Amino acid sequence: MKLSKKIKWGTGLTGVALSALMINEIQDATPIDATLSEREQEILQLDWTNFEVTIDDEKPAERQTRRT
Amino acid sequence: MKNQQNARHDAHDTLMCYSMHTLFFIQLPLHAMKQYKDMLLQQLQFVDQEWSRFHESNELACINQQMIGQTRTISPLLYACLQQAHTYYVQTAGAFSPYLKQAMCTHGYNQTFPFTKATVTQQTLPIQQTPFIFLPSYRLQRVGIGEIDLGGFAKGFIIERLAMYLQQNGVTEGMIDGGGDIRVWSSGQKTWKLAVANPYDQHKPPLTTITLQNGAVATSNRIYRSWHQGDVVKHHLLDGRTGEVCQSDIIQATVVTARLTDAEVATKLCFLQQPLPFTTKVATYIVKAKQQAQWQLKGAQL
Repeated sequence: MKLSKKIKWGTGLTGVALSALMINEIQDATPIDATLSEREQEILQLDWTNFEVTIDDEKPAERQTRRT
Repeated sequence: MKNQQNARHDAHDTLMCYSMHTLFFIQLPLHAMKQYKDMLLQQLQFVDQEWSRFHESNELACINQQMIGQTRTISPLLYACLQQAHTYYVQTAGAFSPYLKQAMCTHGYNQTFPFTKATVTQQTLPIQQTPFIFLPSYRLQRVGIGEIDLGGFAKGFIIERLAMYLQQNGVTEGMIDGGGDIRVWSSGQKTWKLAVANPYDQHKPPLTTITLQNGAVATSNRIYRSWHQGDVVKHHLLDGRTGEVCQSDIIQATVVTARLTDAEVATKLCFLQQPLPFTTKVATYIVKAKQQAQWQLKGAQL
């Protein structure tokens, strides 16, 4: 294969790969997977050691529940 | 969706927007907000348009209009949401149900809030049954009567998904609040302080406050979304098994769990006085008329 053709071929492959990467990124930006991975399960573990009912605390809450 | 607004708060950025007739408040580290703001807005706008039962031509409406025996391929995200809601429906033996649209309309909830009066209809409550089965490749087949109303579940589902996505992509801490249903996470540096609102008046001091690093808080209240249908007071919390308005002395139920969808379903089950079958780690704060509420903790060591 001539050098110029190799460069074109290489450029073409790179272009395809970059496009695929971009498409993946866009698709990844949409959380659509229905199943939970092990990592997700791990993240979901509620750390009860950090759950506390606060009493007589002057510091205001950051958010409040609403009447939904 | 309307009225998006940004504000800086400590080393965080906040984003506020309306979706699903609810004010969303999102707080993330500055760099994360810059990176994910557009994605968050797009997702909330998408579900606002496609998942509301009050729109006549969106994807949910098309599903509800399916004829018995007909199969439809739907978007993966809505499929996941419906499938998860259906799983809760099965786990709770129908007490929680995403198939209550007709029952809601029969009770007069066929318009968006706020409203105080609904017309009396001659319609009788439909017999509750499973209207759809889930097929591979995101296909949904109608096998019975009944229409979908995702209600607050859609909000919990999308908040949970967005929080999970951000965590998986290295956002170390954040809060997503959809109308008071709140999901927070933290890698340990940040502890969130959240308050449980007074059920009668949001402007009064909160009933209680909690701190947590990772978890979800959902609240249901039978006073705020209530109305008169003739002489009868109705509210939006229905028994999925009968379609009837839930009769309870509970005014407000707040549930803290790991996942917001669990918490969302659990608040409904509290009103129905049903056991919570899907997790062993639950904290509930039940407000009844003329009674002092207390936190009830299950599966926790405090």
